[in-house]
Amino acid sequence: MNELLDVAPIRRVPTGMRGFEHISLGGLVEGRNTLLVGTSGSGKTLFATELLYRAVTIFGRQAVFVTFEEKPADIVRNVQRLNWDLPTLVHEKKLIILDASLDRSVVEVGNYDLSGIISQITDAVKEIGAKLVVLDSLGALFYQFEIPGILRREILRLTDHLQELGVTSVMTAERLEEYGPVTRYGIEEFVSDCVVVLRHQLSEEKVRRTIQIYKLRGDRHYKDEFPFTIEFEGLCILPLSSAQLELTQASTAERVSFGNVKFDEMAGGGLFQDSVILFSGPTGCGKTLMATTFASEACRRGERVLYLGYEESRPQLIRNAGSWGRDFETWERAGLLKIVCQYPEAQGFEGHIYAIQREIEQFRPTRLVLDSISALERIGDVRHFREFVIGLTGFVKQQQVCSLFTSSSPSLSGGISITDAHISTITDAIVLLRYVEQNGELSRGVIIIKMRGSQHDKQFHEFSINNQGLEIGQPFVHVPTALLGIASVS
Amino acid sequence: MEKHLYTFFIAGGSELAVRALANFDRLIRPRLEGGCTLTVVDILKEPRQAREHRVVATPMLVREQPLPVVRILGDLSEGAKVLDQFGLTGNDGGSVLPNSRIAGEKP
Repeated sequence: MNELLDVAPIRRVPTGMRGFEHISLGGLVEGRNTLLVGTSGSGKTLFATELLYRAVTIFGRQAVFVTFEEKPADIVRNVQRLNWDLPTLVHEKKLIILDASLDRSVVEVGNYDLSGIISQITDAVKEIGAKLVVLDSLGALFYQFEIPGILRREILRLTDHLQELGVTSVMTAERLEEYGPVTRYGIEEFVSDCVVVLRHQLSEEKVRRTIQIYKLRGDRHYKDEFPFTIEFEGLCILPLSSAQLELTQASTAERVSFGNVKFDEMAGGGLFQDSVILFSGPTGCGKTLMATTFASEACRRGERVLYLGYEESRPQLIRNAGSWGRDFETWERAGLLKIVCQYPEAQGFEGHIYAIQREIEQFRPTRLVLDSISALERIGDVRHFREFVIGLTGFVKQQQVCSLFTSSSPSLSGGISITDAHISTITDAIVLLRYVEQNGELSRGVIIIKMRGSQHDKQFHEFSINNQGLEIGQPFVHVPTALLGIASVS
Repeated sequence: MEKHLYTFFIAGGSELAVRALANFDRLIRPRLEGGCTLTVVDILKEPRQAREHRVVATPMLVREQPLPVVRILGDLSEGAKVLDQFGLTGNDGGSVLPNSRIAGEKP
């Protein structure tokens, strides 16, 4: 009974992998074994290698990598493009790679066990004081050795041994189907404290990678699948769905100017620095003008702004701005403005959000323009689009980047687009731009229909575009239904 | 005379190790003319040797000389296979059957 009373509580070790601590609520379980499973090509070896690399380089925890599948030289080569210099770590005695890859020439002539590798691991762990052991992959052992019975017994002995050594260990194993048995050889039956599943599936001709903490014995964790991408910095898990829904973003009362005195008045004194504003309207109604006005204000104040264009090219954006008296090129040269234009179809949602996060982290802008977010809705299904918007707004608010999104409504007379319907509850402010027909003449109108945490003008103002840019005028009179896009009678 | 150089990687005094060494003395040693040099490496005592020679499983018998180097795994209980691997079949008058018997052929 006393033995039971002395049981130490579960402790977690951070991995340093982008997003993993978040979805696992703390990282791996210290001193235990985690099984990492996935189909062929799902990123197991990269995940395993990154765990080692981060453990050594971020946390100064020495590690041992046992490779049953690839040759050590291949592992080193695979991560060279990520600038992970494994040979140096090996040289500095921070990492030991044990080569247990398949030796085809060996013939089995009787009974045997895996004492060889167990003794190698023990020795390597003691040599450098390793805290983490990664084995990749157990499935390869089943190709290497002919008798499954021996292997099962020996893998069990191996995991027990790792536990005795007191190291945290991660083993990878193959599975044949994305949603089938956990592993091919039923390894999870004896290596079962924690199971992490990597998946990759084709959906509408795009590969979608996800990670799921399937099991984490004795502690809390998120149970959902989270998308991840493999980028030039390694794996990047994007906690887009439930994990981000905790609305923990700090809220500031600091107001910043939109870039137009009249608009600031309408907004009750400017925009909140940590807010996300949606400008919705039909094509040609002045969304890009609004975005340009907003971006220019940052540059004018000597602050940085990131402009993401998904509809127009860089030269087009620069020309537009020029026609409104805004010199984008000068600001770009001054390092205040960064314009990034890309086709929405260039990558999936995960790729886009990662790219945006990266740009923000590197450029550190105070403002962000995304023109237009509705162009992105066509690259995936509605649920993933919504996740993308939630993930992005969560990130920009946390970074306190005042953001302006534009959205195109489907018809000239306005109306609600898919984008509007799905993100209107997520953004802090919504501004509608509409064409208004009066006596056969078309003019433009702007109205703030929502502004979280502030009083605002609820009138529908006329605005015009001239060579100085935006000019907001008086409220319309007698335009009873312009909001809904129905021509007025006056 | 041909030199016979063998290395046996074993794990301590385990049952497998004991059996493997006994099988070596029974099966291989008598078939080598002029005797042989056998080096026994206990990987529990010398794990670096295991790393250097990439010994994953034990017992592992390596024939260093004559070339080519041959590595076989197990306690040598499958005698015919062992002799076949080292090309020692028939050295003692054929008491051990070759492994590669053709199906349907009478023994």
